[in-house]
Amino acid sequence: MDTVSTGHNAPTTASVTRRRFLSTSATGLGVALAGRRAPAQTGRSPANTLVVGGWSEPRTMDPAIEVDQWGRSILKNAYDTLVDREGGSIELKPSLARKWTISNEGRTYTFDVRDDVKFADGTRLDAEAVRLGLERIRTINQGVAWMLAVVDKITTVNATTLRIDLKERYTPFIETLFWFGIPSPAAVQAHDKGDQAREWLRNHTAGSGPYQLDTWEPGQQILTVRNPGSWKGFASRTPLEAVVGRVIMEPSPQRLMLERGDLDVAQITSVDDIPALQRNSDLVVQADPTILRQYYLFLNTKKGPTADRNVRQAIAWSYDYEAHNQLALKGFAKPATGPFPVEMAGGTIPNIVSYRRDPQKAKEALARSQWPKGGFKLDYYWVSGLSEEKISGELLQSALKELNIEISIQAFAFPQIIQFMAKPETAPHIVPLYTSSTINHPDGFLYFLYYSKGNRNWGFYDNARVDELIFQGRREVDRAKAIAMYQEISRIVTEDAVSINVNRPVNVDYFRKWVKGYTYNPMYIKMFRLREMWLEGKSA
Amino acid sequence: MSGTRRAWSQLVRNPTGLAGTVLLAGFVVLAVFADFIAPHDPLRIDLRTKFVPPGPGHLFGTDDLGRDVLSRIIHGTRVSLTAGVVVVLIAGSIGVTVGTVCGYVEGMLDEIVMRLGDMFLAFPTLVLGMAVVAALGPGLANAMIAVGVVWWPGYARLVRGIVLSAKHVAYVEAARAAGAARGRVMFRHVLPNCVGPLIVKATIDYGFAILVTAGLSFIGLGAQAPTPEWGAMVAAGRLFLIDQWWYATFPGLFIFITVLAFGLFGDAVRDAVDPRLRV
Amino acid sequence: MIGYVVRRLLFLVLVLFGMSLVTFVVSHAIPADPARLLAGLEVTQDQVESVRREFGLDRPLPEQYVRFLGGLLRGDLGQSLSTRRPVRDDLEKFFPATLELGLAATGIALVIGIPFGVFAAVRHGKWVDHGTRMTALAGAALPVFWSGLMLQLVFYRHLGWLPAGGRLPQGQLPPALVTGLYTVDALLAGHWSLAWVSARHLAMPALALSGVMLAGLARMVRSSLLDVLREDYIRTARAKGVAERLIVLRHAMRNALIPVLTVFGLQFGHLLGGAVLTETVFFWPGVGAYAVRAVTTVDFPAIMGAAMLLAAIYVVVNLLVDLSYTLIDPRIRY
Repeated sequence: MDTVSTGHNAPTTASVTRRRFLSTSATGLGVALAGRRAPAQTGRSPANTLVVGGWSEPRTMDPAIEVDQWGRSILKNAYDTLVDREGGSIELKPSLARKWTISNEGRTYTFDVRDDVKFADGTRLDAEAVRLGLERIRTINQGVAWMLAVVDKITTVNATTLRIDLKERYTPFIETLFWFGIPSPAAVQAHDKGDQAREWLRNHTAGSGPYQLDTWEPGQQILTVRNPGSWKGFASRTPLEAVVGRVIMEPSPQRLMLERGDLDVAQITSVDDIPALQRNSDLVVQADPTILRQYYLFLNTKKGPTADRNVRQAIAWSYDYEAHNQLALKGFAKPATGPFPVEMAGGTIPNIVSYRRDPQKAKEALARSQWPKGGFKLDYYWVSGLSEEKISGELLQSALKELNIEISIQAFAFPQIIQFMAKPETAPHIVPLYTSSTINHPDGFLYFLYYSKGNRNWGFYDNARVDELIFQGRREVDRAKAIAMYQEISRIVTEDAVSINVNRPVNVDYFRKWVKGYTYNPMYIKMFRLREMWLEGKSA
Repeated sequence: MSGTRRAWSQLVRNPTGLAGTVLLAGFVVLAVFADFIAPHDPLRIDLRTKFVPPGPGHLFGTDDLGRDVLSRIIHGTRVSLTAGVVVVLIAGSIGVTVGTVCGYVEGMLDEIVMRLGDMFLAFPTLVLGMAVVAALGPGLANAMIAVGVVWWPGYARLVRGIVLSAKHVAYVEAARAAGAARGRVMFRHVLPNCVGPLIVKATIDYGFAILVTAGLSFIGLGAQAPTPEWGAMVAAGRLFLIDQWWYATFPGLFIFITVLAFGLFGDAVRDAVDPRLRV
Repeated sequence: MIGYVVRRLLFLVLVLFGMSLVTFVVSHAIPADPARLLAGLEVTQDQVESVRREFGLDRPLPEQYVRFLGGLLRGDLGQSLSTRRPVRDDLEKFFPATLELGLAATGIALVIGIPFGVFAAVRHGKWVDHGTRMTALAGAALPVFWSGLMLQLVFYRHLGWLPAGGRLPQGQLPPALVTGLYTVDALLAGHWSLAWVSARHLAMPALALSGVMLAGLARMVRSSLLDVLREDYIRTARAKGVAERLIVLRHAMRNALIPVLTVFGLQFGHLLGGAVLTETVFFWPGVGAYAVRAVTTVDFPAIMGAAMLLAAIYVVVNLLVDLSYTLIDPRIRY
């Protein structure tokens, strides 16, 4: 990658302050920003501003709390983390930590923290700042805090050394660290009203990253501007000066605006839009091969007919995977072969049951159950707005009709679904779920989905052997042994048909051709590393 | 009754009224005989015929699951017409009961209940409807209940006003003086006055009931998949509006025509029954 | 007069109180746990409980309601579960957008609806009458959520005349805050191009929203004008040979206006509430879009705040309308 300035060399543009850029720039944006004081003529649309369409507006910009995709995407550019990824690689690279060592049987992590990083507010980042940032997350105890539950204590050894002690060995721990953005302690202290500055950080950013929040007009747009002093520098000589995220909850206007060039990047939800967009020579439609994301239908193992394993197997044998993936999604979804993506280490699992549509096997499975002739009704809840989940419901309905099983479909808001899923009694018999792991590790899927106390154990699965294996895997240092454990878990939960593993949805990005420097990273779906990007020949 | 016949002949002599009546009759036929008229099974999924454009095989094309849009619209007529009936019946029966009692007893109870009604009127239908549906859980039945519950005060006001004025009309007072029981007076002498205005209000509201229910379905709070409801079809089809325009366009057009037909019909009924009526 | 206004204002307070109770009950009947929503979806039960205590959601419902009322008196509507901002701040930001949209739609409805109604009345029973009535009714019968999409296709995609939605182009910041109505504020700041840009953004949603009110107004003008035209004094004027146009405009319209105003008041209140779907389609950041999001994220305080605001406006507008009768007809006194 052609990088103008890297590491701690202050970029040459650093002397141009943000205000100066904004007031000297001839762009409409600059005029508008400066225009808060002195309105001038409206200029042309800014050529170095990236305009992104977003739906589901972030709730807050607090790095300790926000977990939704768009919010994370902004936070990723505003805050730095101890470790990070670059380009399309899923390998973790040093970031705020130059390097780290693991000792004390994998329970102690010692980080060598950079001494050349400044926050956008001008204060210096050191090991203590990192400690305070992590402690703040633990104190607030919301959002991403659950991933720090394994931490025992965090110690600042000296200005450049940070030590984290774990309660027990957790091999993927380092993977979780790219979730924790570090805010400026000075800013947090200055705005702490006994709330850890939560109120202030809700609509301000105070990080060391390349793009900081400037203005957030709720319901309209979120404007971030370049932090020229950002220590990692920028890939292009003409980096993005500002990024506007427009709140557009409806998908069709996003597509219309992308086609007319009012958006540079759009979120398009339907694969049926792809052919027309591919024909448009001004656009790039980029389907990405690596998928660390799966789409499941979870079956309630604690309630009604689906508590019977045979019924679950009958459903798994009758679902029309082919119609779903090939016809409904036009091949923009790859088959799922196990409970975690095949592309992860150990993802190719020997001797695993491979469900496909087979009405005969489905009938046999049902015949073994307490309801050999069917004649019952199952509830299916889906998140309103997610059309693939609706399709699943309707495909289930038509497939299970053959087994004399009725499906009642109901749409709910996601928070309500979460609510229903709190207890097996209130949960439906079948519920769809998209999962992308927070970490590049099978534990990110298995612990989450099949551990009896997992956050998304939506099958209410409770298998002592599986729980034991999950914890053994977390502690196992030998990679081959760990993989063997994960494969055994996979075989058990698949045999038990806890979930129907429908597919791995292909990520498709849609943007104008003038957007350059974007590389897909399967761990950063729909997130942009803005410092790597620029615009080339964007017409005004 | 010659009054009814006169009203009827007036209704059909009015060209817009006639148009509305004919359209409505058509919709009723579609709803009743949907099973025979619809060329395909409205629920049958066949992904191999996904998004077939309008043509001889599928007059209005097919949807994202390969279902025939025309057949779904025809069956949707049933859903929408039912929704209108249910909303008007719920609102009407609550409203008539409350309005009659209030108009009859007057006093404190009347004052309290009518103020309560004003409160309901003050709420925007869709916002309160959204809240009610969120509480009851999404679904067509709940959406209909929500709209009905929000609309009752309109009927209560209408009936109460008529009851109040009818109470003091000579023949009612005469009946009371002759010793007729309260309830009997109410039913035999007072309520019949309300029938005309109620019919007018109900026909005018009917179309809007369909519109509001479709609106709730559009937000995802009304009819659930795979029910062929027009609003839900527009909602699902809007994602494909640009390339597969037929999916959202035809159901939207049918909502429009139905509501328009009810509007024309309602207007004409009003003119025929009593042109000075303000409902 | 003063006594009347005071009585109406007292009634307003009563209505608000009643509404707060209704919304509180309804929104707490929603099967969802606000503490969990606040804590975030990926948290443990412990975290949920700590949030529950922090926000007083562990208290009994009556106590929560009393606290809500107490907050209401101080103008505090609580904190939104999804935006984490005070609901009041949110409404202050979102309401001007709804108001601007509502006023623009009203303007369109008045400009088109009244002439329609007058025409229809004057040519009563003729084809003009039927034609205008049809058109007006059609305006009301169009499902906004559908016609809005159609407008976008025509005016944005094919003709490119108007923006797809939103209040301002990307990156454009709003004019200095005075009223919150961007067109007005831009004019006040002397920023003509910004006013023009805002007006262009306003055009499509306002047109889509105006349909229902337009229909209502046209119908009301027509029928009340018809009533008045049958009155004796009009006949007298006719007999005296006063020009028909003068009769309609000078004599009849004035008296026909009162029922029209009543309908207008009712409709304006409902117009703001009806903006829900329009705002959704045109991603117009108003109270309606806010309410939809509140419902889809099960955000109780936001639902309550939005519903109460819209209801309060409805009541106030109707009070103003009632008071304005005295201006039109000096014989009316309160």
